[in-house]
Parts: sequence; C-alpha cells; structure tokens
Amino acid sequence: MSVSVPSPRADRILLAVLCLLLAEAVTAHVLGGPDDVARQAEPMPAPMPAVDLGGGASWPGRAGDRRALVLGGCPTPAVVEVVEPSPRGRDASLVAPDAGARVIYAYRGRLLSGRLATTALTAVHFVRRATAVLRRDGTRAWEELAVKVTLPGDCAAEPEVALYALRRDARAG
Amino acid sequence: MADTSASSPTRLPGPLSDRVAGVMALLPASAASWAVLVFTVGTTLAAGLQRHLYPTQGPQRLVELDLGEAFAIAAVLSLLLPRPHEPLTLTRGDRAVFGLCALSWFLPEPHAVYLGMTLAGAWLILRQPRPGPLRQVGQIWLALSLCELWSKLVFKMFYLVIEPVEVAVLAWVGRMVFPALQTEGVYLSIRPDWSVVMLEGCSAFHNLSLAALIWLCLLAMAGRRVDRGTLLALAASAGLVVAVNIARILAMLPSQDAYLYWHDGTGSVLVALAAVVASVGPMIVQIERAA
Repeated sequence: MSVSVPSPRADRILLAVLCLLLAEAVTAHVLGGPDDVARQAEPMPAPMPAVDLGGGASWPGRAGDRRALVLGGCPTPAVVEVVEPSPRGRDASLVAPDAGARVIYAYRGRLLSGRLATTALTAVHFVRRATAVLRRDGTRAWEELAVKVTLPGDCAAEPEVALYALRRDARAG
Repeated sequence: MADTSASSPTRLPGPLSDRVAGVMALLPASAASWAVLVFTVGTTLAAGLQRHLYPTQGPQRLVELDLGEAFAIAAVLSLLLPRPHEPLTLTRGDRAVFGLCALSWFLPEPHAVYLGMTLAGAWLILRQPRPGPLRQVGQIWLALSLCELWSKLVFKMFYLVIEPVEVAVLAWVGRMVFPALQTEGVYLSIRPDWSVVMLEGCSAFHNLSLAALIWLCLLAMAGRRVDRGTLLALAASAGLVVAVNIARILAMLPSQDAYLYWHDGTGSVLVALAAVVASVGPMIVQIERAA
C-alpha cells in the first residue's frame, strides 16, 4: 500500500510525463492515421485472404461469397458462406438461421459448433484482435474471415463430417 | 469567480487577458488535479482521434460516443474545480498507475485505448485509503470505459442471445400499433414484401449504457448521492431510451421510404436528439426539483 504524502514535485513530474505521452500518442495516431485509412479503403490486394480450415486446407474467398456443399445423409445441400467473424454495422451474415437449421464455423483452423457457436466465434476473434492490438501488430487481425456452414434441418451430418467435406472441397479447388 | 482573477497578483493588463486570467482562476491549481484532467482528456483524445480517422463509423454513432466522453470530462472537471485551495493528494501508487495506464493511448484501436482507463478507475475505487473526489473520478473513469469498450464487447459476443429478447419486446409493443406484425428470428415485417432485420447497430443496448454513464456524470456534477429520486430518474431514462428505440424501429416497418428516413435521413438525427433528451431530461428535472 502506498503512503499518502502530498508531493507537489512528484505530481508535477507525473503531469509532465502524461503531457509528453499525450503529445506522442496524438502525433503517432495523426501520422499513422492516413496510412491505416488508405489500407482500409483500398480493396484487398491480389492474393485473397483464405480461411484456415485446419488439416492443411484453406477456403478462399471474400466476405459474402456463398457456395453449396453436398454432404452424405443430407437431402438438401449445406450452404457455405465466407463471413466476418464479429457482428458489425449492417452485415447480417451472423444472424441466426431458420428454426431447425444448425450452424458451424471454421475459423483459424478451429471448428466451432453447438448452440453458442457464434458467440464462441466472436470470442475467439476478439481474443485474436486483442492480442494483435496489444502487440501493436497492424490491422491484419481485422481482415481475417471465417467460414460459416449452415446445415439444413433435415441434415443429420455431424459438424466434424461437414468440416472434412469442406476440407475435401477446398483441396479439390 | 471574477473577483478571484481581479485579486490575482499576476494579472496582465487588458480586457482579454482579464478574461483569460478569469478562466485560469477557475482551473485546478494543483499539478495532481491537472494530471487527473490530462489523463481523462488524453484517453478520450487518443480514442476520438482514431475514430475520426477511420471512415467506417456513421455520423450518428460518432455524435453519441462523443456525448458520453463530453459528459465524463465535464463531470471530472466539476469534481476538480471546487477545490482550488485544497489540492488532491496522490499516492506513489496512483502516480505509477496513471503513468503506466497512459501507455494504452498508443494502442492502435480506438476502443482498446480505454483499457488503461478501466485499470486506473478500478485502482482508484479499490485502493486504500479512499478519498472522496478521487473515488468519484474513478467511478466516472470506470463507467466511461465500460460504455466505450466493455459493454460493446459483451454486446457483440452475446448479440445472438440479447437480440431475440429485444425483438420479442419490440414485437409485443409493436402489435399494439401494427396488429399484423410478424417476426421470424430477428426479422420484423408488417407486409409480405418488406421486412426489417435487427442488427447490432439497431439495439438500444449502447444507448442504455450511455444513459447510465450520463446519469452518473450528472450525479457527480450536482453533488448528489444515489437515493430513491435519482434512481427513479435513471429508471425513467432507461425506459425512455428503450421507448425511443422501439418507436424508431416500428417507424421503419411501413415501407422502404420510411426505413430510409428513420435509418439514414432526418429521422435518424431526430432519434439521436430524442435519445439525448431521454438520457439527460429525467435527471435534470430531478436535480432542479431538489434544488
């Protein structure tokens, strides 16, 4: 526990340190700002970001890309969608599916399934982003995407089976 | 307050410098008070600057966020101003915590900047001995960082759990106005060819945490304690904020034109203003009545 002794000199040193830090931070953000803005405004460069499915496979595509996935034991094909891993603005891609349907995600080589799959996805994404921010690691973590697979109500396939099918499709191109 | 500046021995001649000296006399005299002020303003500045540099945020969101920060700064000022001759006493631990927490200003994300303020606020509340004004400053720091960082994080994570509850409330109220109101998941419609989806920006959740922050700031500015009257004012604000949001979303249901007016047009500005009045009004009435 600290002792409460008034020390105007130490207070003045603290004030000076805070003012210096503030000036530095403002300069850093103003100078660093336009770069970040340009990076965000420009469309993604040529090699498109791919979602790591684990097992050495990755799923290419931009947010919003959709494709059908044929699964054994599923009369209607599942829908594969590339999504941003946290709800943002007017993006409706993380909204819960129709009653009966199940949703699984592949993100950074992990399979997320179950009732709280979307919450788990957002949590994993925020941990990833927080780590990137604390390491001052640029904005790469912001651009990471996830793959969402919506299994229709009449589909009995296990999440793992859907992930294997996804990897198989990804390797086949 | 003009008397203080007139009696100041370092007064410069001229009406403008009189004015400046008058303002200076209002400001806290001790370096400790200034350090608290710089920490508050510095955090909001580092976050606000990054937010304005990123083009991804809509104008309405910006206004609301800046409002919370403005109230917090005003509240901290009002805690520091009345004691120009009775300086704050900072401990060695306080100084170390403030200095270290200020490092979060450099984080390259506008929300993450508030991490330091959370830690410093928690420190001021939990440490011993507990002095009056500094403890209150700690509460405001904690409330501001909760509003700007943690409540958003929690909301985004539990969006799928919170949103259906909000839609259910909305549908319950909405059926009184539009008996034909249908809901499916987070989609609402009163016509077969037009539906509105409740996304994270539509929720009253952020406005509620902002209303709570403004309430705490007004409490500090008025020098009031938490009692039945002020708690009632908080409850009234929360109810009004939710009501404004429900009314706004119901107003979007009839047609796409109505949606555009209330979501992006003049209507959205009116809604933002109404939300501000709902957050501030009940507490102002409560404070004025007591005075």
